[in-house]
Amino acid sequence: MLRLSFLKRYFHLNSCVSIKKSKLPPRPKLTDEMESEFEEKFLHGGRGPGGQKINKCNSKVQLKHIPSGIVVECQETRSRTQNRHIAREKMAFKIAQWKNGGNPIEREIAVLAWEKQSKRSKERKSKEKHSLHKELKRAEELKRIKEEEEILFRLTQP
Amino acid sequence: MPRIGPRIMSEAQKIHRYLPLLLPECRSIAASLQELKWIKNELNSPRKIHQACRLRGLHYPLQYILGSQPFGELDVICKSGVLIPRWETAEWAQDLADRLPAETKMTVTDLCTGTGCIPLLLKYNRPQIDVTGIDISSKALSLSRQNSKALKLELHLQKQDVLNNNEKIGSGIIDILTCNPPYIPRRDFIKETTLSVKLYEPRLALLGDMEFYKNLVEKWLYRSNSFIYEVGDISQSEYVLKEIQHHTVFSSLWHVGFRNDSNGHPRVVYGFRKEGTSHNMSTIFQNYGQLMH
Repeated sequence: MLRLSFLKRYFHLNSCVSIKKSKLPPRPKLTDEMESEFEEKFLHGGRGPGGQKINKCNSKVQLKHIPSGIVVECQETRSRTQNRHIAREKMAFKIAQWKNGGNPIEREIAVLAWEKQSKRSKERKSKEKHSLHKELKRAEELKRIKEEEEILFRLTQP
Repeated sequence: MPRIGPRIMSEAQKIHRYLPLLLPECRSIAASLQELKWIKNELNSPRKIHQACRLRGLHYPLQYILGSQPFGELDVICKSGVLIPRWETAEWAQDLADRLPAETKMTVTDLCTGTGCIPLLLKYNRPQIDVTGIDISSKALSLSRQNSKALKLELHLQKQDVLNNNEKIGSGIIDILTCNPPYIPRRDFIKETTLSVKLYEPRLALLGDMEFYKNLVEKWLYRSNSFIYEVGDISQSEYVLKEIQHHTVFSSLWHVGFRNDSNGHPRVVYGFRKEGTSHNMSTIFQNYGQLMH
């Protein structure tokens, strides 16, 4: 038993599971039931006249999930339709977190791991590239030295 | 409008060198950053971006610079000389589109159509309906034709003066008459209209008071089954209500309602025939706004 655990130290494999971006856990989805618990507001910088008198470019959407009190806002795009869509995506994410007791959800963890992995692979690739470059440089240097020696040798030879 | 303080200007300068250009129109750093992001997203060359920011500083409308404005799910082309569609209009037009029956054929006529945004949005949501746009401005007509082509939505167009030649417009009974007429009274124009609108949007599409509402009651109620008119002020809604209430024939034939936009301002006056229409108008307009008559 003692020997086995001793051996284990030598055979330890530092393997990491590769994560594919197309196979991440799905984004949290909104159900129709959740939609009924929302309070949606459109904020256009409120007071004062509207209509033809003012030409507002932005359209902010504010979404409130009543049971949890989560509020999400979105004014990323100029289109209200698109902003409503984005706000709902954000909200689905927040609700999933809230249902998980405030802890990060499965997708979040996977995305984080994926980012780490891609960073690591980038580092590895750059390291490989550099070492290859170094090797080539050294080979060239060797070749040059060899040639120089040959010339010297020929010169010293009568 | 108060000037932007030098402290905010220098703070903006530190964030991005074009930001101080946007501040006079956007008023806050957050709003300027937002706009800069949109400009960068939609324009590709650095020269164009700089030019856009400079124009914005002169209060030139962003929609004319970028060339479009979202209207419901559509992206409507905008050009100088034609009124830019407003979100308030998109709101009531989208709600109307959702209420129209999905299969039934109907005829819709939109007066003062401008970019053609209202009939195009209705047609987009209910492809079986037949939409017509009327405008007096040739710039508006060519732009609405361009929009109809770009969005691949069929739109009949006619150049007519709504106030004087309404007999020549269309034929037969119109199921739904929509209109976003010029409704800013001259007395409010200087005081209440923002600089960007005052300087660069066509006055033809802005200045007006009761003309189009009077024209509605006098000419269009005879030949339509329902109407939806945008208003700038409650007095315009009340005018239409009063005219119909006091009319010997219309008062028994028509329902009239008011509708607010999501900012709580009066935005629409609408009406429909109580009976005698081929489509059930009262179900379409149920809870569209508040029924007043």
